[in-house]
Amino acid sequence: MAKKRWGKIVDLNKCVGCHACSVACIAENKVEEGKYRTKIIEHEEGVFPNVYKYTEKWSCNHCQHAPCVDACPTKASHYTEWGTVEVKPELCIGCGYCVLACPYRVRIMNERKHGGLPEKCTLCVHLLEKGKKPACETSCIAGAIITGDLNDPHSEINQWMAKGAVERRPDLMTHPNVFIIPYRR
Amino acid sequence: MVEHHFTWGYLIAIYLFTAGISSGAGIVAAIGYIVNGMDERLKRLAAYFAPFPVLIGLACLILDLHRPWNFYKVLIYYNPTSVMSWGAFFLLVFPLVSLAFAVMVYFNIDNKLRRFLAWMELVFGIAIGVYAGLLLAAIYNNPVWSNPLIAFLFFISALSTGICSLMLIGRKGDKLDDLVRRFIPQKWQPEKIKLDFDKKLFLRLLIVDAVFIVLELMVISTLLISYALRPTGEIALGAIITGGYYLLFWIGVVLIGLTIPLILGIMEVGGRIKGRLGHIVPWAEPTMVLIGGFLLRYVIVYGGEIVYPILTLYP
Repeated sequence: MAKKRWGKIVDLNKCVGCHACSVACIAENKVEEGKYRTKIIEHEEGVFPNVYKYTEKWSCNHCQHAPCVDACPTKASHYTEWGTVEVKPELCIGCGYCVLACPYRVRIMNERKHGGLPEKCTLCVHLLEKGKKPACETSCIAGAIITGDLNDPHSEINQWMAKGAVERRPDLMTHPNVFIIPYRR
Repeated sequence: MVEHHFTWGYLIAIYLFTAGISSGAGIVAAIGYIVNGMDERLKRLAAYFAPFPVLIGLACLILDLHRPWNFYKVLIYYNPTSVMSWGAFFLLVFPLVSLAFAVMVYFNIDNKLRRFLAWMELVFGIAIGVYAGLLLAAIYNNPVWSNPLIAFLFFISALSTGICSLMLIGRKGDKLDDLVRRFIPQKWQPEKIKLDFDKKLFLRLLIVDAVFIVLELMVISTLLISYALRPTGEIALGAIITGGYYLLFWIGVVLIGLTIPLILGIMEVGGRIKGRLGHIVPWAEPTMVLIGGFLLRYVIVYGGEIVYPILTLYP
């Protein structure tokens, strides 16, 4: 069987900015109070009178060339066998260098009393491996999120890829596994 | 609405400052024992003093970790792509080398090993001085930090603050020597060497420090220009010179840390300072440079942190 490469696509044309994904993620992953692994960012674009606004789900992009993995002094931040980026708690010293190195600023530093780990989206791999869907995808009321195996040509995610999915910030050369379908007016 | 969490703070600024002082003092000591002709008091005091500031800095680094009980793992597991991993190696070696060197200098042991340690102290002194800036410069998406000139600036500031702390300690060199002697058994004590700096040595150090201050002013202005030439320049300058920490930068770093000490130093060397002011300058000049050196690190560290929330959006 070919190696899996989990990925995610967010369709910004469908996203309504309801924050359901943020809340479902907190409930599923027991995220520390007041912090978010996934959040909603509002974009306001255009020049008056042609202005418009759209929302975007913002979370870890699971880069294939991740600045946080490069920066980690102990290799606690690492690539998993299915292409996502995760942190090994037994190696992490909590220096915060990965939090600063991430150009997307998606890592959150937990308080010392909660373990002091630089936490972030894990793509809910624990659910994906059981054949379930991540919490954000299950809760999305607009069906704007799709996760799946990017190496499987028949998966639904690869049909979405054909709709014009692009990388976030390709100028950073991080080659993420998480894509967006840009907002079209 | 962006909630603000500082990942790194004043503890990192203290570490960058103390590592700089150690680096400067270590380089002075190493050069003193490699090249002939440096003043005996200066190179001795530099060798004794070099290991201690960085030890305070290391304590701050460990306190700043969010999982401090795991800190030893940074010394076991290495990642060649991580600047911090290299720095951990330098920070492990430098205190050991400089402590061994200080002990050998104190007991007047002169052999091949000491010559080797002098070279090691020079190499690792430069390494920890440059690493302090590279740590920040390696974060490539931060408009304030990702600039190689930061490493250069911190290194020159390290030499300047190292010399200034030696000027301060040199005023009480003999008293410190007496203090250390209390802990050493009588039969092992080396013969007494006078360590207090005299006026002539002090004036020479003032001239050297003035050169470093001028260099530092030049690098700071080059840094600001190189910020301005980038697409993110407005953000970087907004955090440091026009908004954010601009008061600390202009008054703390540029005025108190660089300009006034430079003027005082030149006036003192030229013999223009007379009367009461003459008693103040010898400790005021180095103290002001040290304050400015700390505030420089403080402004750069916090300035880099406050620009982050802006970056989460597309360019």
